[in-house]
Amino acid sequence: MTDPLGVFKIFPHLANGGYRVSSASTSGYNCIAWAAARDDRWWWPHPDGFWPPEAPLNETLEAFEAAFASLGYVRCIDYSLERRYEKIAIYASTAGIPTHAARQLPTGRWTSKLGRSEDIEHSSPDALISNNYGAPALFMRRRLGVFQVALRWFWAKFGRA
Amino acid sequence: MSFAATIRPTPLQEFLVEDFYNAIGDRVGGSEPGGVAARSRYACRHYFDPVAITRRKQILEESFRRLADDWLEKTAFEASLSDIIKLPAYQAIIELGEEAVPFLLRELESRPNFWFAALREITKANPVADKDKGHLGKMTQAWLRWAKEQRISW
Repeated sequence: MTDPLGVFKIFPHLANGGYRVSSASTSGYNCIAWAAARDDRWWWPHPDGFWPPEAPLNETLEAFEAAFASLGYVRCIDYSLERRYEKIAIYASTAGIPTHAARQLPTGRWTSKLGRSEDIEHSSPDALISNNYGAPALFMRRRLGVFQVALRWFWAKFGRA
Repeated sequence: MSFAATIRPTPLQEFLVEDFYNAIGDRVGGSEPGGVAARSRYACRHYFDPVAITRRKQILEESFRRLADDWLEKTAFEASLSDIIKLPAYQAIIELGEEAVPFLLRELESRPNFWFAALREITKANPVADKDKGHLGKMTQAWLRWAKEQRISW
């Protein structure tokens, strides 16, 4: 299993399913923005970060849930692939402080922006369980439109596995 | 009368004026070789010496560089802005005070990153518009524009 970013020490579970680097590193956006499919701002409830005005400005799972709810996401029970839904996972430390977020791709794999480092594609949310990120604490999903479902089907069938 | 009893705590700027030391020297009769006046003249020459000033700036810049690199390394995978500014290296940069501002601006210009909390803490200014929060490029431009308006060179 290759480790092009040398991160197996930090995220040991990545070694199980491997990962693929899918972008260059940048400080222009972070994992929360990337989970929200944005790449132009750093999202965080902090005086220097962007934060949706509908969500409370504090570092709690409730505030992060509200931030994604403002984009149409609702809580769901797991991270299985559902054809008509796009899912995200919000990670939290053992103290319950949010640390990271990941988004499910049409293939069922997941994409994460690692801080200001690269975006990676990984097998499941569990692959990033670590001291740094804690573990997935909340899953959310939003229903896709017909066109998006068709696009996902096409991507899953003919896109990169 | 002892020397300590003759003077009171004085602002640094006054300490660095040679006449001030000469006056003390006269008052305490310290014009003898190796006395207060001679030592003060030596101190003044040292602190106003361009070589000493340049060297001090170099040391500060080297310290800043080490701290900035350390901070960048330790925050590579962090998303939390609250956590990254709590790190000791970031706090140490804030403690460098106003002298760190040109280094911060240079760093911001060459490899933009979230140095805004440090700049805010040191300068007590906040030139970033609410609508630009989180947008690294626009926040950087706002600070560099502010620095130019303040005639800060970096």
